[in-house]
Amino acid sequence: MTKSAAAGIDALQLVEPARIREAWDGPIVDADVHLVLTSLEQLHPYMSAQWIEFCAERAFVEPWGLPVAYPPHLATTESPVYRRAGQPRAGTSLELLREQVLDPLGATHAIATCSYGVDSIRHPDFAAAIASAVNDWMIAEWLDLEPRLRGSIVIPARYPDQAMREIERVGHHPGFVQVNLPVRTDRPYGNRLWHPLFAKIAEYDLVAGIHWGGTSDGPPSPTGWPSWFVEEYAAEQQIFMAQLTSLVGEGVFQAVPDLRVAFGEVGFLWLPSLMWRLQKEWKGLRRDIPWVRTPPIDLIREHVRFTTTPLDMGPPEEIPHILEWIGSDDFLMFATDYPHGHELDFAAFLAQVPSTQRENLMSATAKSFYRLEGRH
Amino acid sequence: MAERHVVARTADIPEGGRLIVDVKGHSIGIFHQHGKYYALLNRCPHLGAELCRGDVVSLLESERPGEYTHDPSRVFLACPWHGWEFELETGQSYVDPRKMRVRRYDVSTAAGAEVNAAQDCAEATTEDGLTKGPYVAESFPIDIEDDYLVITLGAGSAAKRGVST
Repeated sequence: MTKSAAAGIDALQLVEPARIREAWDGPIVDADVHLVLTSLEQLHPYMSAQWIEFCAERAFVEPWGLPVAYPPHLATTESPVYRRAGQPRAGTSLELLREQVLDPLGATHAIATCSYGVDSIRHPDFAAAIASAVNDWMIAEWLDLEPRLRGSIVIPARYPDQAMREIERVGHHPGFVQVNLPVRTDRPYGNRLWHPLFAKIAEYDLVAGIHWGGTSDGPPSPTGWPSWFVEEYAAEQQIFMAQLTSLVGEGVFQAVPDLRVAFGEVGFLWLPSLMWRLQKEWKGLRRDIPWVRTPPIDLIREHVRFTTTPLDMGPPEEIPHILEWIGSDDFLMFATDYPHGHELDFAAFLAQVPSTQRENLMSATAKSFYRLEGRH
Repeated sequence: MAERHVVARTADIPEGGRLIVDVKGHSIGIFHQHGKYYALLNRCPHLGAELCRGDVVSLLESERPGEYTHDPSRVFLACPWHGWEFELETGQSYVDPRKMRVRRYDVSTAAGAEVNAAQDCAEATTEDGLTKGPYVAESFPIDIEDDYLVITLGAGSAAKRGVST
């Protein structure tokens, strides 16, 4: 009897990280876990009296973008497998993070983001103050206490200048390895408006982590507003496609040659067709974008990495084709996306990954891409 | 043995112009750019389009977004089907989609073109950093004899055929 068959129904009762540990006994880096803030009061120790009073005056409770990106009780926000009656929400404390994901996974490292919806705050100074508070909260209550944890800097994403100041303020903290860039923006990330921000990210030897979330002026689809969250979330790759196309076409990788970009919480099976199309059109239309001198597929393989989750997997036996089409065995980074609830089929996916690629997938690619053994 | 064919009067192709002629079943485009004449087989080595009907464009390069190098002295022919650019002088294609695979292919079929234009090609590649593409359009040297353009079809590989006047 195979190991997975022996586990049988019992395996379904296991929380996902334990199932993954069963499927892979080598080193693990979790490239995407979420730290959850549930009340503004948690940030008060990291806010000035002025901004605390500002919130009280206006009865400001939380950034409106937070429940937009992550409706609080949906399984995609907090998986039922992590819920405990009478307990705080999953991801709200270091104890829960250790107990529910780091320990059962046996992870050497985990890359954390805090999706607090700061991008939805239009007051530029308040947005900067809240971003700073979240970062200081992460440093004091997470990063400085848990050596396995690395963080993503939260920025006031509507204001590149303010964002750069925040990177200058906390970017040297050894716990930070990434800057969290919400995928939805008013202008695509290739736009020259953003180039100085990407240069700053590279200057601090950080990764630009483009991640699900954000509140742009436009709808989360290229053709109008969906009616339900499921439409928005299931078809999120169209925004990531737009961002990746923009990064390539507008020359971000020529403007900032040492930039590293991670795409998080979007899946990756859609990528090969976009790469092929970009490559094909570039060959004939490259005069539009003469700075793109390296074929787009090579640019993407060099500068970009993807986290695995949510896994947009169809029949598992097709996975080897997809991996071959992606064409790089140093490209995907395992992630649980804790505490978000996704498929329970990661082990089925892993079984289809050639054994020579598993260590890269499970730890080595993330370890090297995020410089987990020390930034420059 | 080389065969010499008178294909046009020089006056038939003014500066910047082109003429597509048929020489013993070979459709050949003759271009007049910056006082020089160039001849290319009217067939794109990619998928066989009538290459010589494409737009004539000059070199456009960039080191980084917003910075352009525009060099009208380097002239390219953009295939009407997919827009791939071939340098008139050498027939060399640029914008390489699949470096490794095509370079092998390149070597065996481009040998003749290398003979004609090896020096120009090598220098150009180091100067502007363009990546050589997988394909080389067949080019023919042209000689001007008095007022006529004469094209020479030689024996052996097509790329060794010459044009003289």
